[in-house]
Amino acid sequence: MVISVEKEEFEPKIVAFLCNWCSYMGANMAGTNRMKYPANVKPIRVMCSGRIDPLFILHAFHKGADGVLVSGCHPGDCHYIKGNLFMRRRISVFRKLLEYIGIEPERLQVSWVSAAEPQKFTSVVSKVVKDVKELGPLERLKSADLLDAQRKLKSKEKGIAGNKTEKAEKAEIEG
Amino acid sequence: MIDEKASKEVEKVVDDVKNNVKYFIGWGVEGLDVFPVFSEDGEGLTCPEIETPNLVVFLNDEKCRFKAQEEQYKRGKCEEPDRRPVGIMVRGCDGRSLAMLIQENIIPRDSVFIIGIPCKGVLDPKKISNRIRGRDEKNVEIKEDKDNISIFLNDEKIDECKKEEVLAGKCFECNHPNPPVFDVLIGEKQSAPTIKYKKDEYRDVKSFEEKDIKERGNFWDEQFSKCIRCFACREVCPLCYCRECVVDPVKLALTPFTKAKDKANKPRWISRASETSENAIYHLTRAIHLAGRCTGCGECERVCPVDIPLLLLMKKVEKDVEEMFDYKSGLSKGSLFGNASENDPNEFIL
Repeated sequence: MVISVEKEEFEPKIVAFLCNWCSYMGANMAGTNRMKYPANVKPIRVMCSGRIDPLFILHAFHKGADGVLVSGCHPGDCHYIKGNLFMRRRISVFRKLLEYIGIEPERLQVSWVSAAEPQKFTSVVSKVVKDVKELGPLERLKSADLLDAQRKLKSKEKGIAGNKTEKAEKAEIEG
Repeated sequence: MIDEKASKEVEKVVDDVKNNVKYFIGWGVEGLDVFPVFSEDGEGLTCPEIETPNLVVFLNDEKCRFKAQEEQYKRGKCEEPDRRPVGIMVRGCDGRSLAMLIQENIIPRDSVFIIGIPCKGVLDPKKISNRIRGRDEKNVEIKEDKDNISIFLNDEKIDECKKEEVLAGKCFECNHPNPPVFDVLIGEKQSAPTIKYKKDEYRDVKSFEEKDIKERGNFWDEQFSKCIRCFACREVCPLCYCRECVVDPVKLALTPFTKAKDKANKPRWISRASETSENAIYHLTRAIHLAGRCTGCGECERVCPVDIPLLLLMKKVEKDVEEMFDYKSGLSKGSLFGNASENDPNEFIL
Protein backbone atom coordinates (compact mmCIF):
# COMPACT_ATOMS: atom_id res chain seq x y z
CA MET A 1 0.00 0.00 0.00
CA VAL A 2 1.36 3.35 -0.93
CA ILE A 3 0.36 6.31 1.14
CA SER A 4 0.84 9.50 -0.76
CA VAL A 5 1.60 12.24 1.72
CA GLU A 6 1.07 15.61 0.16
CA LYS A 7 3.89 17.96 0.99
CA GLU A 8 2.32 20.74 2.98
CA GLU A 9 3.20 24.20 1.84
CA PHE A 10 4.83 26.33 4.49
CA GLU A 11 2.42 28.95 5.73
CA PRO A 12 4.35 31.77 7.38
CA LYS A 13 3.06 33.75 10.30
CA ILE A 14 3.35 37.48 9.75
CA VAL A 15 2.70 40.00 12.48
CA ALA A 16 1.64 43.39 11.14
CA PHE A 17 1.89 46.45 13.32
CA LEU A 18 -0.53 48.93 11.80
CA CYS A 19 -0.98 52.51 12.83
CA ASN A 20 -4.46 53.43 13.95
CA TRP A 21 -4.96 56.40 11.66
CA CYS A 22 -3.74 55.24 8.27
CA SER A 23 -2.68 51.63 7.81
CA TYR A 24 -5.29 50.07 10.06
CA MET A 25 -7.93 52.10 8.29
CA GLY A 26 -6.47 50.97 4.98
CA ALA A 27 -6.67 47.34 6.09
CA ASN A 28 -10.21 47.95 7.28
CA MET A 29 -11.12 49.42 3.93
CA ALA A 30 -9.62 46.38 2.18
CA GLY A 31 -11.94 44.26 4.34
CA THR A 32 -15.07 46.28 3.68
CA ASN A 33 -14.27 46.34 -0.05
CA ARG A 34 -14.04 42.50 0.03
CA MET A 35 -10.53 42.53 -1.32
CA LYS A 36 -8.53 39.34 -0.99
CA TYR A 37 -5.20 39.13 0.74
CA PRO A 38 -3.32 36.23 2.37
CA ALA A 39 -4.66 35.21 5.76
CA ASN A 40 -1.15 34.75 7.20
CA VAL A 41 -1.03 38.25 8.46
CA LYS A 42 -2.04 39.01 12.05
CA PRO A 43 -2.69 42.72 12.45
CA ILE A 44 -1.92 44.49 15.71
CA ARG A 45 -3.21 48.02 16.00
CA VAL A 46 -0.96 50.64 17.55
CA MET A 47 -1.81 54.30 17.95
CA CYS A 48 1.18 55.42 15.92
CA SER A 49 3.98 53.65 14.10
CA GLY A 50 6.33 55.69 16.28
CA ARG A 51 5.12 53.54 19.17
CA ILE A 52 6.88 50.52 17.71
CA ASP A 53 9.94 49.59 19.66
CA PRO A 54 12.48 47.19 18.12
CA LEU A 55 11.75 45.10 21.21
CA PHE A 56 8.20 44.49 19.92
CA ILE A 57 9.61 43.10 16.71
CA LEU A 58 12.08 40.88 18.52
CA HIS A 59 9.29 39.68 20.79
CA ALA A 60 7.14 38.83 17.78
CA PHE A 61 10.00 36.80 16.28
CA HIS A 62 10.56 35.16 19.65
CA LYS A 63 6.94 34.09 19.99
CA GLY A 64 6.76 32.47 16.58
CA ALA A 65 6.43 35.10 13.85
CA ASP A 66 8.34 34.40 10.65
CA GLY A 67 8.06 37.95 9.44
CA VAL A 68 7.01 41.36 10.69
CA LEU A 69 5.37 44.15 8.76
CA VAL A 70 5.38 47.65 10.17
CA SER A 71 3.10 50.10 8.50
CA GLY A 72 2.32 53.74 9.10
CA CYS A 73 1.17 56.94 7.48
CA HIS A 74 3.06 58.50 4.60
CA PRO A 75 5.73 60.96 5.71
CA GLY A 76 4.06 64.25 6.45
CA ASP A 77 0.66 62.65 7.05
CA CYS A 78 1.34 61.42 10.56
CA HIS A 79 -1.44 62.18 13.03
CA TYR A 80 1.26 62.99 15.57
CA ILE A 81 3.30 64.98 13.04
CA LYS A 82 6.63 63.09 13.20
CA GLY A 83 5.93 59.66 14.73
CA ASN A 84 6.49 57.71 11.52
CA LEU A 85 9.79 59.48 10.89
CA PHE A 86 11.06 58.47 14.32
CA MET A 87 10.07 54.88 13.51
CA ARG A 88 11.84 55.00 10.16
CA ARG A 89 15.06 56.12 11.79
CA ARG A 90 14.95 53.42 14.42
CA ILE A 91 13.99 50.63 12.06
CA SER A 92 16.58 51.56 9.43
CA VAL A 93 19.32 50.95 12.00
CA PHE A 94 17.62 47.88 13.41
CA ARG A 95 17.09 46.30 9.99
CA LYS A 96 20.78 46.53 9.20
CA LEU A 97 21.60 45.02 12.57
CA LEU A 98 19.30 42.06 11.89
CA GLU A 99 20.96 41.52 8.53
CA TYR A 100 24.33 41.64 10.24
CA ILE A 101 23.54 38.81 12.63
CA GLY A 102 22.20 36.66 9.83
CA ILE A 103 18.47 37.32 9.67
CA GLU A 104 17.24 38.16 6.20
CA PRO A 105 16.10 41.80 6.05
CA GLU A 106 13.03 40.74 4.03
CA ARG A 107 11.55 39.43 7.26
CA LEU A 108 11.16 42.93 8.58
CA GLN A 109 9.36 45.17 6.13
CA VAL A 110 8.18 48.72 6.48
CA SER A 111 5.57 50.39 4.32
CA TRP A 112 3.56 53.56 4.14
CA VAL A 113 -0.13 52.84 3.62
CA SER A 114 -2.74 55.56 3.89
CA ALA A 115 -6.39 55.08 4.83
CA ALA A 116 -7.40 55.36 1.19
CA GLU A 117 -4.99 52.73 -0.16
CA PRO A 118 -6.54 49.28 0.34
CA GLN A 119 -4.93 48.13 -2.91
CA LYS A 120 -1.50 49.05 -1.66
CA PHE A 121 -2.18 47.23 1.60
CA THR A 122 -3.15 44.00 -0.14
CA SER A 123 -0.19 44.18 -2.50
CA VAL A 124 2.25 44.86 0.35
CA VAL A 125 0.88 41.97 2.38
CA SER A 126 1.02 39.61 -0.60
CA LYS A 127 4.59 40.63 -1.30
CA VAL A 128 5.69 40.12 2.32
CA VAL A 129 3.98 36.73 2.52
CA LYS A 130 5.53 35.65 -0.78
CA ASP A 131 9.01 36.74 0.30
CA VAL A 132 8.82 35.05 3.68
CA LYS A 133 7.40 31.89 2.12
CA GLU A 134 10.49 31.67 -0.04
CA LEU A 135 12.78 32.19 2.95
CA GLY A 136 11.10 29.49 5.03
CA PRO A 137 10.51 29.44 8.78
CA LEU A 138 12.68 31.57 11.05
CA GLU A 139 14.07 29.46 13.85
CA ARG A 140 17.00 31.53 15.03
CA LEU A 141 15.02 33.83 17.32
CA LYS A 142 12.19 31.46 18.21
CA SER A 143 11.95 30.46 21.86
CA ALA A 144 13.15 26.96 22.66
CA ASP A 145 9.82 26.08 24.31
CA LEU A 146 7.94 26.95 21.18
CA LEU A 147 10.27 24.92 18.98
CA ASP A 148 9.91 21.96 21.34
CA ALA A 149 6.14 22.19 21.29
CA GLN A 150 6.14 22.35 17.51
CA ARG A 151 8.38 19.31 17.26
CA LYS A 152 6.18 17.34 19.64
CA LEU A 153 3.08 18.29 17.70
CA LYS A 154 4.69 17.12 14.48
CA SER A 155 5.78 13.80 15.94
CA LYS A 156 2.30 13.32 17.39
CA GLU A 157 0.73 13.96 14.01
CA LYS A 158 3.11 11.47 12.49
CA GLY A 159 2.27 9.02 15.27
CA ILE A 160 -1.46 9.30 14.58
CA ALA A 161 -0.83 8.83 10.90
CA GLY A 162 1.34 5.80 11.72
CA ASN A 163 -1.40 4.27 13.86
CA LYS A 164 -3.90 4.75 11.09
CA THR A 165 -1.75 2.91 8.61
CA GLU A 166 -1.25 0.08 11.10
CA LYS A 167 -4.97 -0.15 11.59
CA ALA A 168 -5.53 -0.07 7.87
CA GLU A 169 -2.97 -2.79 7.40
CA LYS A 170 -4.62 -4.90 10.09
CA ALA A 171 -7.99 -4.36 8.48
CA GLU A 172 -6.53 -5.37 5.14
CA ILE A 173 -5.05 -8.55 6.57
CA GLU A 174 -8.24 -9.39 8.43
CA GLY A 175 -10.37 -8.48 5.41
CA MET B 1 53.35 49.78 33.47
CA ILE B 2 53.07 53.46 34.23
CA ASP B 3 53.50 56.50 32.05
CA GLU B 4 55.85 58.28 34.48
CA LYS B 5 55.72 61.69 32.86
CA ALA B 6 51.95 61.79 32.70
CA SER B 7 51.61 60.42 36.23
CA LYS B 8 53.77 63.22 37.59
CA GLU B 9 51.66 65.78 35.78
CA VAL B 10 48.52 64.19 37.19
CA GLU B 11 50.04 64.48 40.66
CA LYS B 12 50.72 68.17 40.09
CA VAL B 13 47.18 68.84 38.89
CA VAL B 14 45.73 66.89 41.79
CA ASP B 15 47.79 68.89 44.28
CA ASP B 16 46.47 72.13 42.80
CA VAL B 17 42.78 71.30 42.85
CA LYS B 18 42.64 68.91 45.81
CA ASN B 19 40.73 71.34 48.02
CA ASN B 20 38.00 72.03 45.50
CA VAL B 21 37.31 68.40 44.68
CA LYS B 22 35.23 65.96 46.70
CA TYR B 23 37.31 62.94 45.76
CA PHE B 24 39.22 61.60 42.80
CA ILE B 25 38.47 58.52 40.75
CA GLY B 26 41.57 57.26 38.99
CA TRP B 27 43.57 54.20 38.10
CA GLY B 28 46.07 52.18 40.08
CA VAL B 29 48.44 49.57 38.69
CA GLU B 30 49.98 46.40 40.06
CA GLY B 31 51.85 44.38 37.47
CA LEU B 32 49.34 43.78 34.71
CA ASP B 33 46.36 44.53 36.94
CA VAL B 34 44.69 47.91 36.58
CA PHE B 35 42.02 48.79 39.11
CA PRO B 36 39.98 51.87 39.99
CA VAL B 37 41.29 54.00 42.85
CA PHE B 38 39.12 56.31 44.93
CA SER B 39 41.02 58.79 47.00
CA GLU B 40 40.21 62.07 48.69
CA ASP B 41 43.70 63.54 48.65
CA GLY B 42 44.58 62.17 45.24
CA GLU B 43 47.17 59.69 46.44
CA GLY B 44 47.89 56.59 44.39
CA LEU B 45 46.57 57.99 41.11
CA THR B 46 48.65 56.81 38.20
CA CYS B 47 48.42 56.91 34.46
CA PRO B 48 48.85 53.34 33.22
CA GLU B 49 49.57 52.32 29.67
CA ILE B 50 47.68 49.07 30.05
CA GLU B 51 44.00 48.77 29.21
CA THR B 52 42.12 50.70 31.89
CA PRO B 53 38.56 50.38 33.17
CA ASN B 54 36.08 53.05 32.12
CA LEU B 55 35.62 55.06 35.32
CA VAL B 56 32.63 57.00 34.05
CA VAL B 57 30.37 54.18 35.20
CA PHE B 58 31.07 55.13 38.82
CA LEU B 59 29.66 58.61 38.26
CA ASN B 60 26.19 57.10 37.85
CA ASP B 61 26.41 55.54 41.32
CA GLU B 62 27.80 58.79 42.69
CA LYS B 63 24.89 60.71 41.25
CA CYS B 64 22.34 58.35 42.85
CA ARG B 65 24.10 58.63 46.20
CA PHE B 66 24.28 62.40 45.96
CA LYS B 67 20.60 62.67 45.08
CA ALA B 68 19.57 60.50 48.03
CA GLN B 69 21.75 62.56 50.36
CA GLU B 70 20.29 65.81 49.08
CA GLU B 71 16.80 64.51 49.72
CA GLN B 72 17.69 63.44 53.25
CA TYR B 73 19.24 66.85 53.85
CA LYS B 74 16.05 68.61 52.74
CA ARG B 75 14.16 66.62 55.35
CA GLY B 76 16.76 67.57 57.92
CA LYS B 77 17.91 64.02 58.45
CA CYS B 78 21.59 64.44 57.66
CA GLU B 79 24.33 67.00 57.30
CA GLU B 80 24.74 69.14 54.24
CA PRO B 81 26.05 67.05 51.36
CA ASP B 82 29.42 67.80 49.81
CA ARG B 83 28.60 69.75 46.64
CA ARG B 84 32.13 69.91 45.28
CA PRO B 85 32.75 68.19 41.94
CA VAL B 86 34.19 64.72 41.63
CA GLY B 87 37.57 64.43 39.93
CA ILE B 88 37.82 61.78 37.24
CA MET B 89 40.48 60.58 34.83
CA VAL B 90 39.38 59.87 31.27
CA ARG B 91 40.94 58.83 28.00
CA GLY B 92 39.50 59.56 24.56
CA CYS B 93 36.87 56.82 24.48
CA ASP B 94 35.87 57.24 28.14
CA GLY B 95 35.76 60.98 27.58
CA ARG B 96 33.30 60.51 24.78
CA SER B 97 30.99 58.45 26.97
CA LEU B 98 31.23 61.13 29.65
CA ALA B 99 30.39 63.76 27.03
CA MET B 100 27.41 61.63 26.04
CA LEU B 101 26.20 61.48 29.66
CA ILE B 102 26.57 65.23 30.02
CA GLN B 103 24.67 65.69 26.77
CA GLU B 104 21.86 63.44 28.00
CA ASN B 105 21.60 65.51 31.20
CA ILE B 106 22.46 62.53 33.35
CA ILE B 107 25.53 64.14 34.84
CA PRO B 108 25.71 67.92 35.26
CA ARG B 109 28.87 69.35 33.76
CA ASP B 110 29.75 71.28 36.93
CA SER B 111 29.58 68.14 39.08
CA VAL B 112 32.72 66.66 37.52
CA PHE B 113 36.30 67.80 37.29
CA ILE B 114 37.70 66.06 34.25
CA ILE B 115 41.37 65.22 33.96
CA GLY B 116 41.74 64.39 30.28
CA ILE B 117 44.50 62.09 29.15
CA PRO B 118 45.37 62.00 25.45
CA CYS B 119 45.71 58.32 24.71
CA LYS B 120 48.64 56.77 22.86
CA GLY B 121 46.84 53.46 22.65
CA VAL B 122 46.77 50.99 25.51
CA LEU B 123 48.32 47.54 25.82
CA ASP B 124 46.15 44.48 26.15
CA PRO B 125 47.03 42.58 29.36
CA LYS B 126 45.62 39.38 27.87
CA LYS B 127 48.06 39.54 24.97
CA ILE B 128 51.00 40.24 27.28
CA SER B 129 49.88 37.46 29.60
CA ASN B 130 49.85 35.11 26.63
CA ARG B 131 53.38 36.13 25.73
CA ILE B 132 54.74 35.40 29.20
CA ARG B 133 52.53 32.32 29.42
CA GLY B 134 50.74 33.51 32.53
CA ARG B 135 53.84 33.66 34.72
CA ASP B 136 53.53 35.71 37.92
CA GLU B 137 51.60 38.64 36.47
CA LYS B 138 52.03 40.85 39.53
CA ASN B 139 55.81 41.15 39.18
CA VAL B 140 55.79 41.89 35.48
CA GLU B 141 57.29 45.16 34.37
CA ILE B 142 57.06 46.60 30.92
CA LYS B 143 59.32 49.16 29.36
CA GLU B 144 58.66 51.03 26.18
CA ASP B 145 61.26 52.39 23.83
CA LYS B 146 60.15 53.85 20.50
CA ASP B 147 57.38 51.39 19.67
CA ASN B 148 59.41 48.51 21.06
CA ILE B 149 58.10 46.78 24.17
CA SER B 150 60.34 44.77 26.47
CA ILE B 151 58.83 42.67 29.22
CA PHE B 152 60.71 42.18 32.49
CA LEU B 153 59.93 39.55 35.12
CA ASN B 154 61.68 40.05 38.47
CA ASP B 155 64.19 42.43 36.83
CA GLU B 156 65.04 39.87 34.17
CA LYS B 157 64.22 40.55 30.55
CA ILE B 158 62.12 37.71 29.23
CA ASP B 159 60.50 38.98 26.07
CA GLU B 160 60.62 41.70 23.50
CA CYS B 161 58.15 42.71 20.81
CA LYS B 162 56.70 45.49 18.71
CA LYS B 163 54.03 47.65 20.30
CA GLU B 164 51.53 46.70 17.61
CA GLU B 165 51.64 43.08 18.69
CA VAL B 166 50.34 43.77 22.19
CA LEU B 167 48.17 46.81 21.51
CA ALA B 168 44.50 46.38 22.43
CA GLY B 169 42.31 45.61 19.42
CA LYS B 170 40.01 48.59 19.92
CA CYS B 171 42.97 51.01 19.80
CA PHE B 172 43.85 50.18 16.20
CA GLU B 173 40.44 51.44 15.13
CA CYS B 174 40.30 54.46 17.43
CA ASN B 175 39.76 57.75 15.68
CA HIS B 176 39.44 60.01 18.71
CA PRO B 177 42.27 59.58 21.23
CA ASN B 178 41.63 62.97 22.87
CA PRO B 179 38.70 63.48 25.24
CA PRO B 180 36.14 65.96 23.81
CA VAL B 181 35.46 67.58 27.21
CA PHE B 182 38.06 68.21 29.90
CA ASP B 183 39.10 70.71 32.55
CA VAL B 184 42.79 69.85 32.43
CA LEU B 185 44.60 68.06 29.66
CA ILE B 186 47.69 66.08 30.62
CA GLY B 187 50.42 66.45 28.02
CA GLU B 188 49.83 67.17 24.37
CA LYS B 189 47.03 66.06 22.10
CA GLN B 190 47.74 62.82 20.28
CA SER B 191 47.15 61.99 16.64
CA ALA B 192 44.66 59.26 15.83
CA PRO B 193 46.00 55.68 15.80
CA THR B 194 44.02 55.02 12.64
CA ILE B 195 46.44 57.33 10.82
CA LYS B 196 49.47 55.97 12.64
CA TYR B 197 48.75 52.33 11.88
CA LYS B 198 46.99 53.07 8.56
CA LYS B 199 43.91 51.11 9.52
CA ASP B 200 40.29 51.83 8.73
CA GLU B 201 38.08 52.61 11.71
CA TYR B 202 35.59 49.87 10.88
CA ARG B 203 37.86 47.30 9.25
CA ASP B 204 36.62 44.35 11.33
CA VAL B 205 32.99 45.18 10.71
CA LYS B 206 33.58 45.68 7.00
CA SER B 207 35.36 42.37 6.56
CA PHE B 208 32.64 40.61 8.55
CA GLU B 209 29.89 42.21 6.47
CA GLU B 210 31.34 40.70 3.32
CA LYS B 211 30.69 37.18 4.56
CA ASP B 212 27.70 35.15 3.46
CA ILE B 213 24.50 35.70 5.45
CA LYS B 214 24.40 32.06 6.60
CA GLU B 215 27.99 32.19 7.73
CA ARG B 216 27.24 35.33 9.70
CA GLY B 217 24.22 33.70 11.30
CA ASN B 218 26.18 30.63 12.32
CA PHE B 219 28.97 32.76 13.75
CA TRP B 220 26.62 34.78 15.94
CA ASP B 221 24.63 31.70 16.96
CA GLU B 222 27.82 30.17 18.20
CA GLN B 223 28.80 33.35 20.04
CA PHE B 224 25.38 33.90 21.60
CA SER B 225 25.09 30.29 22.72
CA LYS B 226 28.15 30.89 24.90
CA CYS B 227 26.51 33.74 26.79
CA ILE B 228 25.71 32.90 30.41
CA ARG B 229 23.65 36.06 30.95
CA CYS B 230 25.79 37.39 33.77
CA PHE B 231 24.87 40.91 32.58
CA ALA B 232 28.44 42.08 33.14
CA CYS B 233 28.33 43.90 29.81
CA ARG B 234 25.34 45.88 31.02
CA GLU B 235 26.70 46.62 34.48
CA VAL B 236 30.02 47.90 33.20
CA CYS B 237 28.56 50.12 30.49
CA PRO B 238 28.51 53.79 31.52
CA LEU B 239 25.58 54.45 29.19
CA CYS B 240 23.39 51.64 30.59
CA TYR B 241 22.28 53.81 33.47
CA CYS B 242 18.59 52.84 33.71
CA ARG B 243 17.90 51.70 37.23
CA GLU B 244 15.32 49.23 35.99
CA CYS B 245 16.50 47.42 32.90
CA VAL B 246 13.95 46.22 30.38
CA VAL B 247 15.67 42.89 29.90
CA ASP B 248 15.96 42.10 33.58
CA PRO B 249 12.75 40.73 35.07
CA VAL B 250 14.36 40.49 38.52
CA LYS B 251 14.52 44.22 38.90
CA LEU B 252 10.82 44.73 38.25
CA ALA B 253 10.35 44.57 41.98
CA LEU B 254 7.65 42.33 43.39
CA THR B 255 6.44 43.44 46.79
CA PRO B 256 3.93 41.72 49.06
CA PHE B 257 1.43 44.31 47.83
CA THR B 258 1.79 43.43 44.16
CA LYS B 259 -1.54 42.12 42.95
CA ALA B 260 -1.85 38.91 40.98
CA LYS B 261 -3.18 40.88 38.05
CA ASP B 262 -0.14 43.15 38.03
CA LYS B 263 2.16 40.17 38.22
CA ALA B 264 0.43 38.59 35.24
CA ASN B 265 0.46 41.79 33.23
CA LYS B 266 3.96 42.85 34.01
CA PRO B 267 5.96 43.04 30.82
CA ARG B 268 8.34 40.16 30.57
CA TRP B 269 10.19 40.76 27.35
CA ILE B 270 12.94 38.25 27.85
CA SER B 271 13.07 35.36 30.27
CA ARG B 272 16.10 34.62 32.38
CA ALA B 273 16.82 31.32 30.64
CA SER B 274 20.14 31.48 28.86
CA GLU B 275 19.04 29.94 25.58
CA THR B 276 20.60 30.96 22.32
CA SER B 277 17.51 32.74 21.03
CA GLU B 278 16.98 34.61 24.29
CA ASN B 279 20.62 35.58 24.38
CA ALA B 280 20.43 36.84 20.82
CA ILE B 281 17.43 38.97 21.73
CA TYR B 282 19.19 40.30 24.81
CA HIS B 283 22.26 41.34 22.84
CA LEU B 284 20.19 42.85 20.02
CA THR B 285 18.17 44.83 22.51
CA ARG B 286 21.34 46.06 24.14
CA ALA B 287 22.82 47.00 20.80
CA ILE B 288 19.77 48.95 19.67
CA HIS B 289 19.44 50.72 23.02
CA LEU B 290 23.03 51.86 22.66
CA ALA B 291 22.70 52.89 19.03
CA GLY B 292 23.99 56.41 18.64
CA ARG B 293 25.20 56.35 22.24
CA CYS B 294 27.90 53.69 22.37
CA THR B 295 31.33 55.25 22.07
CA GLY B 296 33.27 52.04 21.55
CA CYS B 297 35.23 52.05 24.80
CA GLY B 298 35.24 48.25 24.62
CA GLU B 299 34.43 47.64 28.27
CA CYS B 300 31.67 45.13 27.45
CA GLU B 301 34.07 43.00 25.48
CA ARG B 302 36.80 43.32 28.11
CA VAL B 303 34.65 42.09 31.00
CA CYS B 304 32.87 39.31 29.09
CA PRO B 305 33.77 36.06 30.87
CA VAL B 306 33.06 33.97 27.77
CA ASP B 307 34.76 36.26 25.23
CA ILE B 308 31.85 37.24 23.04
CA PRO B 309 33.11 39.81 20.51
CA LEU B 310 30.57 42.44 21.55
CA LEU B 311 32.57 45.27 20.05
CA LEU B 312 32.00 43.73 16.63
CA LEU B 313 28.27 44.17 17.21
CA MET B 314 28.48 47.64 18.73
CA LYS B 315 30.85 48.94 16.05
CA LYS B 316 28.41 47.84 13.36
CA VAL B 317 25.69 50.02 14.88
CA GLU B 318 28.15 52.88 15.25
CA LYS B 319 29.15 52.54 11.60
CA ASP B 320 25.56 52.44 10.32
CA VAL B 321 24.62 55.45 12.39
CA GLU B 322 27.60 57.39 11.12
CA GLU B 323 26.95 56.43 7.49
CA MET B 324 23.22 57.03 7.48
CA PHE B 325 22.80 60.00 9.78
CA ASP B 326 26.32 61.41 10.02
CA TYR B 327 26.03 61.13 13.77
CA LYS B 328 28.93 60.35 16.08
CA SER B 329 28.10 59.72 19.70
CA GLY B 330 29.71 62.08 22.16
CA LEU B 331 30.84 64.44 19.42
CA SER B 332 27.64 65.38 17.56
CA LYS B 333 24.95 67.53 19.08
CA GLY B 334 21.47 66.32 19.96
CA SER B 335 20.31 62.74 20.30
CA LEU B 336 20.03 60.34 17.39
CA PHE B 337 16.59 58.82 17.94
CA GLY B 338 15.25 62.00 19.52
CA ASN B 339 15.36 63.67 16.14
CA ALA B 340 14.01 62.70 12.75
CA SER B 341 14.08 64.34 9.37
CA GLU B 342 12.33 63.97 6.05
CA ASN B 343 15.62 63.18 4.36
CA ASP B 344 16.34 59.98 6.29
CA PRO B 345 17.03 56.82 4.22
CA ASN B 346 13.83 55.71 2.57
CA GLU B 347 14.94 53.09 0.06
CA PHE B 348 14.04 50.07 2.19
CA ILE B 349 10.38 51.05 2.49
CA LEU B 350 7.86 49.15 0.35
